[in-house]
Amino acid sequence: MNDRTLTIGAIGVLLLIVALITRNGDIAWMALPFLIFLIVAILQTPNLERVSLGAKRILEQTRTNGIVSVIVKLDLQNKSREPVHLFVQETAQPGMKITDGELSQWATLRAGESTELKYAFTATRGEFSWKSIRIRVSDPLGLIQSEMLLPDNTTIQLRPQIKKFRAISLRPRNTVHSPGSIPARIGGRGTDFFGVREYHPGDSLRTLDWRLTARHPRKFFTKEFEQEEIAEIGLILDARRNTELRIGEESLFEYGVHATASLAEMFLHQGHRVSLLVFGENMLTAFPGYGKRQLQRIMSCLSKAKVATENSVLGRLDFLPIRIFPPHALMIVISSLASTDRSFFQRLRAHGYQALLVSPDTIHFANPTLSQDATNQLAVRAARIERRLWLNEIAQLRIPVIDWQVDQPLFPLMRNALSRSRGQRET
Amino acid sequence: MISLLCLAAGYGIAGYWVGAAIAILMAPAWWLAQKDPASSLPTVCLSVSVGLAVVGRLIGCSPAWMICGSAAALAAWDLVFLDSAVGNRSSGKPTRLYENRHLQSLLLALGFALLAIVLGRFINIQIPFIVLLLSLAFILFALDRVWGYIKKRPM
Repeated sequence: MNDRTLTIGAIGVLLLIVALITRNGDIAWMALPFLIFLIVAILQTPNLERVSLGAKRILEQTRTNGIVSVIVKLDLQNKSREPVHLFVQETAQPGMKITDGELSQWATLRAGESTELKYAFTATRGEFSWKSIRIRVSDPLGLIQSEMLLPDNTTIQLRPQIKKFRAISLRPRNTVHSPGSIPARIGGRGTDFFGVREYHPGDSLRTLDWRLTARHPRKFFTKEFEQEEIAEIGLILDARRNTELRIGEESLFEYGVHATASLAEMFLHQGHRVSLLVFGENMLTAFPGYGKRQLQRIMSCLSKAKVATENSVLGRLDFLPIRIFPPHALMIVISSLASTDRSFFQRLRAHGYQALLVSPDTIHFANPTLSQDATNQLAVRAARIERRLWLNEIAQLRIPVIDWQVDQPLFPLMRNALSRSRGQRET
Repeated sequence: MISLLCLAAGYGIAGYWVGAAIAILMAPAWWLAQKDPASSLPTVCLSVSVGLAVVGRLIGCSPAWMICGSAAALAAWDLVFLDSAVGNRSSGKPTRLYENRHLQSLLLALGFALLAIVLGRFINIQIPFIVLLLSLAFILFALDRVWGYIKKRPM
């Protein structure tokens, strides 16, 4: 039943009632076009048991990096022996921006005929999936419609755009015992000379220090080289509601997402083991891993990352399960900070993690939209002081802090901070 | 437009100039309804047009004009829907075919109804009130059965 059917039926019946009350035959005749209109629709309504439709949604790709236009094609075929009048309608999912084409179409398909609904959409980032194709089979007048849901399982991921960073030479306090590029400050296989020790059975004769051996009769000495290993890196992206700021189309969280993607790509490209936790509405996790496959996992998590809703219980970083990260990992937290976050960083250091905070500057982001009157200027100044205090509190825990103004490039700030973070000690 | 002209002519011929003016004033409303078919304006316009036809008949305007006016209002209301549904996408073959089938069905319904009215008005049968009442009850019962059948159809 739809509104049109109700309108026609109601007017027809009302006219008949008025005709009866007034005993006026002409008014009864007026009802006839409405009733016949309804009857014609009923008579032409197809029997759903005999209707057989085929539908297929085609996407040109299943994942994309960065903002691109995605073309969606919906192929509909009439597999029944009779013509079918149908209405197909697609619903724009949240975050989709339709750039071309139409989302709905009325069509009459003769037996074996097919039609195509084509549209293009774009989105900043996200995962879009379709579980069914909704088709309404109708009479030619569109009065009596029956809905058919055809199964479909199509998904596309629009992943954040990666800004490629050059390699940053890390000097973490701890490394993973796996060959890499970071001097591990322990003897083993490598290229840089590390020291000399007494020969142990099994040592290669190539590494014997012949000069020292010659000076000490009856003793052998082996040269040791500094082992080069990889780093264990944990990325935490803060997606709490109280740290998000949206001005028009721009979102501060999106800058954080893009920074996380770029950092993950850089670290994985250098061969490090990287894990990710998005702390927001749903906690999304990519457990530690290496290589391109891990990058795909991280990008998949980032494409699904959403800012938590107002009602989310995860309002404090204290609820973050830091133990999912391997011990002594270098933790990079991307968060624009809230007033209660200091205790989380204390906990992080207490658990022995080396940490770095990348904090997108909310005040700098919002400032251009604020009017420059005296009250606002005073408020901005107060907010800056408050933020500076928060950052200083975290810096006092010997955690390098990057106060990132999002219109500035992140790479030089990261390079400076990571090269300085070598001396970070237990508190 | 035909609907409004029929109604205005009916009222005008009978000398009810206020009714004719109201009918003509409906033109901008129909134009707005065409611009915004998703709103309830088309239904309101149809209801007002049919109401004008009923009132016109009750105060003694020509039945031919009034019946034509209400039937044309029904056609206009349906065409507003068709225009919004098909819009500028009528270039595709399946959509064009749907448009043709819709227009054919509309023409069939209105043509048959108007033919039946013309023929019916020549046949003058005095129906007692109780028979008329029973006929209406029968029509309502039939509509209810049809409606039940539509609702029971597998979705």
